[in-house]
Amino acid sequence: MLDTLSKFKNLKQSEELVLAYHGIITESLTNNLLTLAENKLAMVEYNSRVKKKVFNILVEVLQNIYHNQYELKNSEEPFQKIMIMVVKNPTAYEIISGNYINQSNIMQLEKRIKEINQLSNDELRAKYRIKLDEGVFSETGRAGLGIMDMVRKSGQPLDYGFKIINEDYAYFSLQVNINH
Amino acid sequence: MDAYYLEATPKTPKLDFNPDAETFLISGRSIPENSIEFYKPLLDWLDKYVQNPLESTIFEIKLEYFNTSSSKCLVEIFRKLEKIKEDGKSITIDWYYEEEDEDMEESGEDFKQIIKVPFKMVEIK
Repeated sequence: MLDTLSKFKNLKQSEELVLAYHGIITESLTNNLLTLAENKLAMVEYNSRVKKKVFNILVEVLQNIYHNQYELKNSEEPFQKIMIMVVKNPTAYEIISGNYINQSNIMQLEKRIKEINQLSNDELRAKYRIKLDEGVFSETGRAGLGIMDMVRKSGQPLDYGFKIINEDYAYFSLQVNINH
Repeated sequence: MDAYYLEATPKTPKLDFNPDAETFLISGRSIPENSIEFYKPLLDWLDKYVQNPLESTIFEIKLEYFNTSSSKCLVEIFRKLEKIKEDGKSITIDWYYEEEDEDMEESGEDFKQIIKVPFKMVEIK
């Protein structure tokens, strides 16, 4: 099962680290990370279509975590630390994130990812459009489209893992692969 | 009616809604954390505009990037414009995307499918 922290410590020689961040996340840090990612991608990737895709998915991954952090706002600081990295291997970019979640959310999150991972392209498109059609005011600002968008844009299922930390928290690892 | 104008920032698009110009425009990037907060003033402005719109309105969307929460706001914007058509006036949405940018093309197709306003896909070569 994917574990972002151990992945970071055990990067292979063929895996080039484009960007990594470990720490708490705020709105301004999110902005800074995106600016940094964009500058770095401009140096390592010449295909503007791939560059755009990687950046776009990174925005979605980061903002998903940023919004999830709200439920951890009263947690001790170590549990507010997130990890995000962008790795370039010989065939693909990997956007890999790690963040703590309440253990009670594992089942729902895993069910959701599994369900979306196994959809065909056409099924995913149809499901996405239904969700989009609902508009904003059906929820409290969360689009509910993030995971679907990651799978759709990358064209590949998401890799993920949960690691139980203690009776309250689990560590959630997520990886999106984008072929280059 | 007063125009609604906002300059672009690295995370939010330029919004240029000027009834004297007959063409409305959203361009740039739309990746704010809180999209509803960003688009709410525009949605309020559109509520007033559709009460007494021009005979013909063209709305151009030239986005480079947008996040999924912005896409939900775009749906709300397009929905407001449906009233113009219902009242017998002309409204067209032009969705610009760069050649080979299949993600932007696909996004346009998504909107086109669910919006009841003439929606034109415009490829930029």
